[in-house]
Amino acid sequence: MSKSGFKTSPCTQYLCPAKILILEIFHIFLRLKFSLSAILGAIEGFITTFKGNRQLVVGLKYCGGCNPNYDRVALVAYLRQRLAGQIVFVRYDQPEAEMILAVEGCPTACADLASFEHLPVFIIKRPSEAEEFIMYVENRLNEQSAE
Amino acid sequence: MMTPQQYEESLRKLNLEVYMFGKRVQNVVDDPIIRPSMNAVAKTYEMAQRPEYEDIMTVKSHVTGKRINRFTHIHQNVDDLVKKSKMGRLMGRATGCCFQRCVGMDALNALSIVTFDIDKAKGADYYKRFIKYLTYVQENDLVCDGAMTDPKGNRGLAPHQQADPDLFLHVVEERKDGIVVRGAKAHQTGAVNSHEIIVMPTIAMRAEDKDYAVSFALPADTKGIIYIMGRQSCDTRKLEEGLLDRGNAVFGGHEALVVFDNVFVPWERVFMYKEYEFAGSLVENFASYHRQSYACKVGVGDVLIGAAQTAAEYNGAEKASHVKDKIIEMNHLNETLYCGCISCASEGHREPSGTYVVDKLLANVHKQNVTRFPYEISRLAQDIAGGLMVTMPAEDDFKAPATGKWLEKYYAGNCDVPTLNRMRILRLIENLTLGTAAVGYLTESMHGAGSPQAQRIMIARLANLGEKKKAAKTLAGIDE
Ligand SMILES: Cc1cc2nc3c(=O)[nH]c(=O)nc-3n(C[C@H](O)[C@H](O)[C@H](O)COP(=O)(O)OP(=O)(O)OC[C@H]3O[C@@H](n4cnc5c(N)ncnc54)[C@H](O)[C@@H]3O)c2cc1C
Ligand code: SF4
Repeated sequence: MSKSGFKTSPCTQYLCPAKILILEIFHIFLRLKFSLSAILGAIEGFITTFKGNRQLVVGLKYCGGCNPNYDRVALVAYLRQRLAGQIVFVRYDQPEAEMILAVEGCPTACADLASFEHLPVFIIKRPSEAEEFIMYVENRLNEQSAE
Repeated sequence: MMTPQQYEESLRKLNLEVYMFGKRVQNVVDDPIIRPSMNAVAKTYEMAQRPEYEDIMTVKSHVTGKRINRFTHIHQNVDDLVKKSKMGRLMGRATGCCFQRCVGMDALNALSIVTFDIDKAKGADYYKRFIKYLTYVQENDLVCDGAMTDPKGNRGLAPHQQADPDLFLHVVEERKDGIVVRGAKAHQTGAVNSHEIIVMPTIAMRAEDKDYAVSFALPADTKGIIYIMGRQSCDTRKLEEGLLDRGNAVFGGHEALVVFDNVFVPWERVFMYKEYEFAGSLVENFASYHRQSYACKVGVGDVLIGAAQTAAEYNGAEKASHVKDKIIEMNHLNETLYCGCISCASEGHREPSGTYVVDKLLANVHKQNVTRFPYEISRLAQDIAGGLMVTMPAEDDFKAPATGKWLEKYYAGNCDVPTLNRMRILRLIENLTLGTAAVGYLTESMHGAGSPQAQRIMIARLANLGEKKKAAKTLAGIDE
């Protein structure tokens, strides 16, 4: 696996709509971020799932943020909005996670990823890599719906 | 792990004997002078709860396997040491002051090495006791005061030679169930925000001083422990209503003289008892870890550089080439400090106990730089800030109708910026370079973890001059 990029993944599984809604609400409460976009994203996610579309469950892992070159939390909020209905973020240690998104504040990329060897890991080290992640998610979901 | 709220509640349950301005402090947690320092420690709990800082602030305990706050961790590899340095910078930047929790972490790590070594040499069982104590600290996510510095009286005399034997903390009685100690520890960082106090000897010792070679840990509110708060310049501004004149509206630090007036210590909390041959090793290990801990000054430096750049922008001077160059110089000095604390961690090694310790030469070089660079960074910040940072009137004068209009008019800088914001950033620079935070950023940089000469002695000892001479002689063609 390259440091910035991803490994090929096992297939995306279906999650029941109720579980996805609970996961979304849990995440929102956990972060205590009652931003409008997150709530709208969660509702939209629920509706999409209810309609039968797949969502990718992504375990979110940040580096420790000792001296980040950009706002990592804002970047994740942006991804949450852009990928509303397509992904669900959960804590990295949740068993539902199908892959890990590691959000690293600088090219040193020192987040401890040792425990994720069984999962595909996508690493973002600069804001421009957010678009690559969006493409990755969209491709992955497209491939799976074509299957 | 505790939340910040649980930490605050846990402090309320302590019954500490604290004095300040000649009076007993009944409610330590809510005292306006002390409160900002409690906020700074609470921040170490808050950051540990946040996913975006968790990778630095928390770690898996090697004892229990549970996730713990890194401030209670024993370093298990080089990555742990590096993350400790990063945590110092992160916390320094988040609080702009001393967050007080490193001394305890450094004491725990030093004791993990030395208790193991004493056991190996003497067949004692200190290490087992220590691990039990460590587990208690980790499971309860406690703050420990690391108490090394004795008052020391006449600096030219050994502990047993002092006119008053209590000028170094010592054992006065041995009982079946424990020992009784008397003495004091000076300059104790975060003492009244701590659940525990870990005592260590202050210098290497000889047989004549064996009563002084003692290390132990006690709950902070043990009977006979008395705290007398140190004061800081501008401290009473915290009693005023407004926040502007404080500079740092939320956070601060504190130090105290901690008196041990015939205090009983049960055996299970004693980690060194008259093994004077190991006092020097405990001091050296603690000091090396703590010299690394001054990574915190890099984080505070980040705040000061940010404040200086902002002040320049508010003054409309940010494009001047000399201002730009001064900001570059401040960054150069600050990142040079960072190089030191990262390199001593990266070059760390494993001790027989399994604990990783920093490279001691590099840790001392780092701390020696810390005794100098924050002063130069402060000088440059004051240069960029202009004289107003020490001549501006009080917040109340900005609020008063008779004076406020004049201050608004004549203290305006860049017209896009509210005058009060300009005042706020200048007060922060004052706070860091002359006010309450200068205790941590300047004088503590000088003396904390040992005065400059202490590092020079270590540098002389560790600098491997033999290898340097050999290289020089080889290249010069000298064959001896
Ligand atoms: C803000 C702050 C926070 C601190 N926090 C802690 C803490 O949490 N825990 C802790 O244990 N300690 C703490 N310290 C104490 C710190 O380690 C001591 O300040 C340091 O070891 C110097 O001791 P001193 O202050 O007694 O100065 P002194 O020992 O009086 O030193 C003053 C000068 O005299 C010189 N000198 C002293 N003795 C000798 C000698 N025998 N021969 C030659 N020269 C000598 C020194 O080199 C120095 O130049 C803190 C200090 C400060 C300022
Ligand atoms: S001065 Fe720095 S290293 Fe020392 S306790 Fe405060 S924050 Fe920690």
